[in-house]
Amino acid sequence: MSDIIVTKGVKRGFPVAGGETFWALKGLDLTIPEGALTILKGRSGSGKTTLMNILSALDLPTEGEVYLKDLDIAKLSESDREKIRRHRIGFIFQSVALIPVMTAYENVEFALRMAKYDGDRRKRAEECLKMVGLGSRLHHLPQELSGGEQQRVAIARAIAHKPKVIFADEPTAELDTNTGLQVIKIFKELTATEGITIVMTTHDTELMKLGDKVYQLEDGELVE
Amino acid sequence: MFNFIFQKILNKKWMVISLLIGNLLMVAVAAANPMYSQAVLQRTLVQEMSDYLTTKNKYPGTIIVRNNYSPFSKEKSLEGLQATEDMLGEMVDELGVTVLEEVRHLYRNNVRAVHEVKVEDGKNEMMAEITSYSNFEDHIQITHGRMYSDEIKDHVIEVVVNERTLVENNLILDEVLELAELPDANGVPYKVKIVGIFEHKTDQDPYWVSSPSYWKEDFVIAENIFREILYNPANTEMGFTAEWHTVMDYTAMRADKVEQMLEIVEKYEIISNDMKVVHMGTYFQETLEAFVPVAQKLNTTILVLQVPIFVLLAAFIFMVSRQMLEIEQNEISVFKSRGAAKNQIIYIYLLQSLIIAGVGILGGIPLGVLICKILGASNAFLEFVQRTALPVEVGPMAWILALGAALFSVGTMVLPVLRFADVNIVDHKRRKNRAAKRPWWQLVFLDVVLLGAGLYGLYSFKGQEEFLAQQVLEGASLDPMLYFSSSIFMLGAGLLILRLLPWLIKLVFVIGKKWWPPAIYASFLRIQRSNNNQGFLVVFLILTVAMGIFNTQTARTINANGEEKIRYVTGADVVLREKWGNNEQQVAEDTTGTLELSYVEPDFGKYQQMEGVKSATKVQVETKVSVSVEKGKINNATVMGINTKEFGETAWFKESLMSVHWYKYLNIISQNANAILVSSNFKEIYGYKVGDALTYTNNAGDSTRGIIYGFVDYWPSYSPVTISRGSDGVIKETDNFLIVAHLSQLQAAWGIRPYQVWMDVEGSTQFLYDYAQETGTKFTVFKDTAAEIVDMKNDPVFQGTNGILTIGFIIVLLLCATGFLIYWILSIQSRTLQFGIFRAMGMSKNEIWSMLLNEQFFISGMSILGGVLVGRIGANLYVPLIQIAYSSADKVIPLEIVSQASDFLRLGIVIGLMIVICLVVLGALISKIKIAQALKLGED
Repeated sequence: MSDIIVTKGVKRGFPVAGGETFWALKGLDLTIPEGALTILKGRSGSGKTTLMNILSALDLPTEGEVYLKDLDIAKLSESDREKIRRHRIGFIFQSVALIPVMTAYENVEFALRMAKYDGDRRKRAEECLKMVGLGSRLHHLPQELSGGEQQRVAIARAIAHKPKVIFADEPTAELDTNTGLQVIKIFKELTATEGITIVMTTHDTELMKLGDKVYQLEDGELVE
Repeated sequence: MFNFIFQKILNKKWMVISLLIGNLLMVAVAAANPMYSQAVLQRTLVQEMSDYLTTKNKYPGTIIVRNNYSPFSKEKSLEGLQATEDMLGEMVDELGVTVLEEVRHLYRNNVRAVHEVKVEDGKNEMMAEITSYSNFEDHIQITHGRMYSDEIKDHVIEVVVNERTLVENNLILDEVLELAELPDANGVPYKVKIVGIFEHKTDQDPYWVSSPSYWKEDFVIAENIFREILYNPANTEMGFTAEWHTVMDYTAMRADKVEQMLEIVEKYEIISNDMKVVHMGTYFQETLEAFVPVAQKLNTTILVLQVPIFVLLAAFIFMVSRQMLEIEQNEISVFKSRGAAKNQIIYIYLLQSLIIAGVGILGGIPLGVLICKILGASNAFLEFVQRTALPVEVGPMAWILALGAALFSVGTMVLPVLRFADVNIVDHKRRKNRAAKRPWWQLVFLDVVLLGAGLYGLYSFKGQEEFLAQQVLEGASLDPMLYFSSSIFMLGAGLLILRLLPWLIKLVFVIGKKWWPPAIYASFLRIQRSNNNQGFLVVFLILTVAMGIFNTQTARTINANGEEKIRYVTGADVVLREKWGNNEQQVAEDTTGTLELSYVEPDFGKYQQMEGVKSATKVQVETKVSVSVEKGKINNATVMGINTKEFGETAWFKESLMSVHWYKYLNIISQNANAILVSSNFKEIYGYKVGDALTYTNNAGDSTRGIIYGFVDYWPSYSPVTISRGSDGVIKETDNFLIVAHLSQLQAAWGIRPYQVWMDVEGSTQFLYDYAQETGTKFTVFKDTAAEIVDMKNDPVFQGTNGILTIGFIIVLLLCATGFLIYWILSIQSRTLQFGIFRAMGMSKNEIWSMLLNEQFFISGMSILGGVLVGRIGANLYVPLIQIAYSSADKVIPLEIVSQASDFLRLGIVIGLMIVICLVVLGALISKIKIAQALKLGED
């Protein structure tokens, strides 16, 4: 199994009062295996979200290199990173972050529009929704769906444009254990059937067992 | 508690600032209403009074009381004198106006005075008036001799006289005359000695009710002496008269007290009648009586014009407070779920509203004063001139209305809370999950109903133009129902657009669905599916813009129409006729009957030479000309004799009045000396055709003939129809007939008769007044268009209307801008999370921009366009009727709806500016959005 993401000495500092710098990440070297579910764990404040932001090209490290395949995304411009996010990365957020004025189907289809998906958008959107177990209720607005259903739409949206990597930040935090488990099952299926790499954060120890690889962070450093 | 509210206010500063702006404006407008009308009326009152002073040369603040006192008993006379004076004193106290002068004038006329030293070759006696004035010495100066003393020595009373009395009665200084009929109690006659000659100190002294320069038989003595000698048992025929002149400062009279003052005057008229006072009168009563209806008219007009502004302000406050609640809904629900009682929540909001309204009052009243001051300098719509400041004061009425407005706004702010306060977090989530349903007004077709009501109002007035004109003749003001119809129409139209707009958007969206880039696609979905608040903004924008346009067009039309009418009816910048000399007297005395009336023609050339005159022409205007027509005789035709070329250069005429340029008509008749133009009613009523001959006779009985070369609907100074109110109170229309002929032809047929001089003047007409004053020239006709336009602009109703429409326009601009900004800023603030999602999905900032611009175009842009449309349609429908209230009833020239490009430019600049500000603020907001933070990813 090859690694899709490799970081070398990633540091991320935030200026704090008094002209000093708070180091959220203190020089991380890690690898994310392709087509597997990688879990980042850690208490809040451990730096896991900062790390996610950097891995997903939302944020830049203060120091260090981040290779997506062989491309150092830490050296890319804003617009190039936008392109990467648009085509190669999918997001799933903790709070359900669907576009409220779009139906389930439209939310997924919109991701395809964003990524300039070449094929039949309708077919692909429906396919993805089916994949996450939402064959019906396609034309409901997010507010008309339950939390679990909404998160499934979010997953469908994240995978629709066939990204290389999906980042999921606490995707199960607002769901009950059962629903959370189902989400993780979907993730596992996706890695198996579609070959997608998924990076997620969680602090649910039950779910952690399902990860192919688990990293634990503490105070901006990896703990084995 | 206060801390909590304070914190809350700080957190919502944008909202609170806009609520504050709404409150400030509302209070300011409410307070400005009474302040402004009061101030305009005050200025008008003082103006009318000072006009009275200049035209009648009488000081308008004067009360005159005159009474005769019998000579039977000295005590009784003095008692009576005192009683009358006390009554006057009470009246003046009640009127409560600053007193400038209180003059007590005692006199006894027809007193025979015999010269002690006989006058050679002249009458040896004269009839004198023995008189005394209180405080006389302060208002005169002695030119010869000295002032009288206040003591009688050896039966000799010292008097002073004016020069005219001295000269006309052959008196000399230090001469003594015997008052044969005015003896003392012992029957010994008094004598008078002329010790001095006086003249009044200044001409403009209100002390003198009648100027001493007219006196010709007055011996002025000291008042105490007059009182001493007034009782004359030897001559019971002769009493004395007392006259009081109390001169009040007319500039201190208050317009809001006019009716009270009139009541007081009437009360004292009755009292003085009961006291058998000979005369009690004022110089101001007439002016005040004429003033009352003007005041009422102005007050109604201002009120009517202001109501829509209030409605808009209320809508604004309502919109903002609802938006605020929408955002705070979550908080409220949480309070509620944690056990806060409904009352507590309402209390929080009530307190917050009271704080805002309180600040609104504190700031709104000074702002109202400022608005009035600005309006005081307004000449016409959005035009300001340097003129005397308006006497603005914050009266009780201003406070009451300001307070009322503030309470109303508190109500508007608290009312929506009642609904929200019942909702706990569960309901809130549930409600949130419910799909937006159609707003109630769409279900009941409120838009259609309002539109129908507005149009019905229009329709019912449309047939009644004559009735409206009649009401104006009777002094009525703008009909409130008519004006409200226009507002209702605009509201209905605004709602209708709001109903239709989604369909338009949907259409555009569907047409391009395949091609829309993702950002535009997303924004279309948003526009179509978001909640009612956006609808409120649409209606609000439509209404503000429509009202702004409606206001400008109403004001511009009323002003332009008024001015044009004056120009048209006058005919040229200046129309005058000197007093012509004639031999009327000789003709009357001539017994042979051969002498004919002839005139002395004043020099015309001098007018052409005057500096400032661009061109001048002779225009002979003969009225009451009779014309024999087939079915009888017209007696009231007007003949106008002109020199075609000069007339064309001098007269004022609006080219659009006739389909063919009026010069063409002048050219047509210039071909033939006998050619005439006649008014179209010759054709319409009597069936005349071009080529027909017409014989007409002037009021001297001389006839002449002309050949009709053309028919004109309009002609400088010609009104086709006159509407007037007969003595029986019935309104009637009279057709006016006009014949335009060559002056040379008229003069050949009728001889030289007085003609008018029409002038086209460059700049001020002052040189004509100067000329008249220098040379003493008298005019029998003098019309100055510029002066009449100034008069029109000074008319309080006219001024008030322009003022209020100007305020309205400015407020509309302010509201439009703030409402717009608030809406967008809040709307974008509340969507930070969504932008974060879009950005995470790879949308660039530019795409976010394009999304917002698309929204702006379809919501703001369409609303503004809709507003322009509604405003223009509304103006075209309603202004013709509304302006009737401002014009005389004569349908002189057809109305044209006037719009001035500069107003649209102003509106455009403001709208452009607010869009720019909005975009700048949005830009700042968008660039501040940290994607990670927006998504609540950055918890570290």
